[in-house]
Amino acid sequence: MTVAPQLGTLPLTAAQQGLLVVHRTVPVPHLYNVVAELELDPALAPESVAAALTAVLAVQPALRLAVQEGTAPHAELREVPADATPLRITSTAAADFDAQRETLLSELGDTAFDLAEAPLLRAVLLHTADHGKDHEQARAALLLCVHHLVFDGFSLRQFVRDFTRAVRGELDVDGLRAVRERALHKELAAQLAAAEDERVEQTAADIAERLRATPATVLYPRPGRATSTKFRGERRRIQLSADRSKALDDTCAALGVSPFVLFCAVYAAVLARHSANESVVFGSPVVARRTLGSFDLCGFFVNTLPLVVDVPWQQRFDTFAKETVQREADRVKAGAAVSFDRIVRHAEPDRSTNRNPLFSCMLAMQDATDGAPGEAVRRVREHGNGTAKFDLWLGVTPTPGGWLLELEHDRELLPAPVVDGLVDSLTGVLHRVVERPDAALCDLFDDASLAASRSTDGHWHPPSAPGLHGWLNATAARRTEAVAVEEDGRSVTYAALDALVRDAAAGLARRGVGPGTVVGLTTPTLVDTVVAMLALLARRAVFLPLDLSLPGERLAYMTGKADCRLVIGTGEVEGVEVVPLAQLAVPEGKFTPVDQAGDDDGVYVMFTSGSTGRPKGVLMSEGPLVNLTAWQIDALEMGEDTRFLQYAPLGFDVSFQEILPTLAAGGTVVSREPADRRDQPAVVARIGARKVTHVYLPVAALRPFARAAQDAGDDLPELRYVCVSGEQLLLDDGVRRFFAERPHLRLVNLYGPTETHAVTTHRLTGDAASWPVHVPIGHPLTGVHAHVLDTTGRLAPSGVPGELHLGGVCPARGYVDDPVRTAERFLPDSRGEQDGARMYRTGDQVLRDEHGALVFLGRDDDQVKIRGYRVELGELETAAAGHPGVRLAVAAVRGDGAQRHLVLFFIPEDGPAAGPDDVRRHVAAALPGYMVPTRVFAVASVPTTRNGKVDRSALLEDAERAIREEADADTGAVTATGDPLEAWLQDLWRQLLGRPDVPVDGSLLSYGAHSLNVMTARATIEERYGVQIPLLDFFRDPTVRAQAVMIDEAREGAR
Amino acid sequence: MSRTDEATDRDIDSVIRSHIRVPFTETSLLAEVGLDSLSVLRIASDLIPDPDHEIDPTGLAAVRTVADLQQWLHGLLAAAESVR
Repeated sequence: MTVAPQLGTLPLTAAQQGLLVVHRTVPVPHLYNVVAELELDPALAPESVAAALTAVLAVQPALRLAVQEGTAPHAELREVPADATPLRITSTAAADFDAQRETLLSELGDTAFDLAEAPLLRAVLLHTADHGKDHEQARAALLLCVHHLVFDGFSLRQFVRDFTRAVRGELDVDGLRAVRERALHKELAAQLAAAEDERVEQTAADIAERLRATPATVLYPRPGRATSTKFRGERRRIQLSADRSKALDDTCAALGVSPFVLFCAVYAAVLARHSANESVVFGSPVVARRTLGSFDLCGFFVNTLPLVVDVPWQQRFDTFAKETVQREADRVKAGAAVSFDRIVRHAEPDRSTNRNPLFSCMLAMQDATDGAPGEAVRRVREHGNGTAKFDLWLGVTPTPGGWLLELEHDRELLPAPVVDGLVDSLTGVLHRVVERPDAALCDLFDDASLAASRSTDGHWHPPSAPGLHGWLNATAARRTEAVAVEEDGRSVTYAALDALVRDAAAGLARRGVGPGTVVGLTTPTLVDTVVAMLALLARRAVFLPLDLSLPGERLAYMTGKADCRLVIGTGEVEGVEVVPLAQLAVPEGKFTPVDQAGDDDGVYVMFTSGSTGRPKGVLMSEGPLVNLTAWQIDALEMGEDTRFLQYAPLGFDVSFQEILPTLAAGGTVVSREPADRRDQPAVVARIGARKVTHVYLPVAALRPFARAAQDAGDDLPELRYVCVSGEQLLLDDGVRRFFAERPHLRLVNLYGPTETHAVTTHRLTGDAASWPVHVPIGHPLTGVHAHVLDTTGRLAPSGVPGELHLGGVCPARGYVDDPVRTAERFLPDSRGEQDGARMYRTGDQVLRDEHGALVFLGRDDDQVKIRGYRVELGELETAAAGHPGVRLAVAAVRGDGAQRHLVLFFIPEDGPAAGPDDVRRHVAAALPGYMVPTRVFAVASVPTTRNGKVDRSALLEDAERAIREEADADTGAVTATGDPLEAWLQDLWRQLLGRPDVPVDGSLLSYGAHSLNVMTARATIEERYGVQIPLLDFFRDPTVRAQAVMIDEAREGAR
Repeated sequence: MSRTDEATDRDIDSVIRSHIRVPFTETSLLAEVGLDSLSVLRIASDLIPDPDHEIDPTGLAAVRTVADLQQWLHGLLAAAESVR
């Protein structure tokens, strides 16, 4: 093998160096392959194709470049002798041509180029074996794979042009060769000179400023979204018809915008809808060629620049395109000399993943490269190679048949259903802008499928009677001798319960309690409570649970709002008569039963605290509760042997689910007492002792419950269902282990505001070890419609965040004595099945995942966002608590706006404790970069507020004080070191950064380190110590100290 | 206007005409007549044979109408002249 001689050394542009950084960071060597297919005139002799390719290589110097990395990266121009032209010629039967072509394209696409070996190009000529004999069947194609480092989007046109001329014998190889080499030198010189212009730095800073102020555009922003992927991709082709394409072109002309601006406008609107953002960021390649001579060259002369586009939904599309988008397009074109790394330097983005740090989506207007029927090259097509560089890439190519759109997506980040939604939005918007260019941006979109809103889990047990009272009576009649309610020291059969209820109902009747009357409950025992509830149901009255531990003023507010004048139970409630149950009951009293088929005046009032303003009393009617009961009996496999623990406070609507469905199914309601709710070991013991089969816990109690059972070695053999609700369910290994070791137990997550009771459910099945951290809230119950309305006001497609609105049978009547807030939250459902259909607007942000399950994202009013990324403090706390040395962790947000960052407080376990650095490292290994806390503090205890909740403000105050003291003591960044390796590194960085004050344990990024000089540092370290530091590890902890540790560890490993 | 300028304007005009297939006036937007930035560059390379001649992409971004284009090409040619 002859070693190709070197014809000269050429500098690399910043863009090329940037591509090298990616090449080193991303373990996908074929990611930046350009794959093209040239359909050829089959009459061309293979030898002439080979000769033409050789000629093209000779006159296109970029195609003869090799790239040398190391401490001084550069390119080398080589010779490619005719006998070393990288062309394979292969023939096939006509019938197999397409299949063979696919196979070869795939092989070519997988080429892993050795960048140091020229040419960075491979080609295969595929032709039919029987060509020449049967011209109709004869086919030929030249398949190309070229590395992007030497081949930008404009290069294919040049290649085809030179190739065509070579085939015709019109290419003056000797003459052009020198001209082209000179042109390449000149262009590189011009690019490098332009990069030195001081305006470039200012432009880069301006662009970075805009980026920092804009939240990241994240498609399908589900919790647990992978931050690093394998870049596996898929392309969808959308060929617009000739008519539609012409219509689009006419629209461009009418609006006075280029196709680039039109497609940017459409793309921006689609990205805004699908990422639920009002400002979006996407990249686009901008031609950076400076010399006229460069336009004949193949090469890599583009800079990829970000467009930041505000998408105001009410703005008309034509104005949006002509003004907003045009302005941004002009800005971007004017920044053609700014290379990517400059912007990164100024933007200081999160560098902890292997993905593009500035934008996740890209739009590329491809150059038209038409072949022509009579030509040597009939048709030109570019192909993907099963990779995706971005989350979403839209390529737009003008073809003779019309605009060709290609959507390439990362398969892991954007699964098929999500991409389907994007395709629908894209084609829909393109339709609409032609028909109605004056439409508001939000009106360019349509509802996604209504079927998704209405799809339920289908569980249903037919009620024995139309109403709750009738249903309970029917069951009681069947189960007379079975125990209905069991509390410590007392069991009551269905028959006995029925008698007690009749007596109480008579007493209520005597006091004028009838349909719609609101009666408070402060009954001290479970039996009394159940009797009172059922008696009120019999009277079609409304019960209002009252917690006597609440302040008197609050209780008075509640009874006032609900117009409650009578309370059954103990204690004192201001302004209201409290009657013990025993006193109320009239033994065997006679009374006129209430017509059960009357109007639905409501079953209970339960107060819910909003985040602002005074609590609201939700009046829940019978219809939704019958539906819920019918669902639950089937879903939780309830029946006569059900023993449901009554755990929830009565004022929580969960208590209804513990009591009513159990009695409707003929089972037993078991009291929690004497176990205290907060004493999980006692709760676990009671469940075992009383052979409870069903328990319903608040999410916060699950971990302690599981831990208590593990500590007690209790398998809980009778228990079947553990249901949780109340807040986002986050699982850790302790909980997973608990369930893995008890395969007879099912874990069911439920979600539902008081205004609708429980409405969605997600059952965790299969191997507990694979259960996700962030558990979905799942699918609607039978009879519930779950509408997700996105930022355009339409039903959201798969993976698109929106506000959850609940319709169908579940919405309550409204808030007692509060017509204004009732009207605000209980809205007409225009998508409902019946006239007068209503829905409740939850204020909760959700999305439907690729399986159709709803995932809770947070409340509108308390999103924590760091640099535009939604952050769940609970997730950070769970991750930190996973460290064995951490007993309890609390996360908080410090600072404002762009300065917002996360801090973490933790109480160390007794025994070998964890230090803040250990915890920080542990978290950094488990979570995306933007969720890693900037500071970690060990604390002795966690202060709580009067309500028993964690007092984050107090913790933050302590942190402020600690940080101030630190600053005063002027400890700052350490600059002196006695360690020789650290000293060597410090010196290296002094030289690279051109400054003397390089710290040992401060972030080098603040001192001017960036991806390009990091590459140089790595190369120097490799040269000196023979080890490689992975680029991402550098960015995770960009300090001299950390690098010294990494070098030592790598050297240890190598020994 | 000097004779050189006249000749220049004629050259510019004829090259522009050869690239636009629809009727146009000076105020026509390039987007209206089907010219994008690449076609503008092609027009420029038709007019200026010197391959080393540099164009500033920033200036190019500001070219919106046919009149802008004429002006920009004029400037390019003048710069090319002065180099010779």
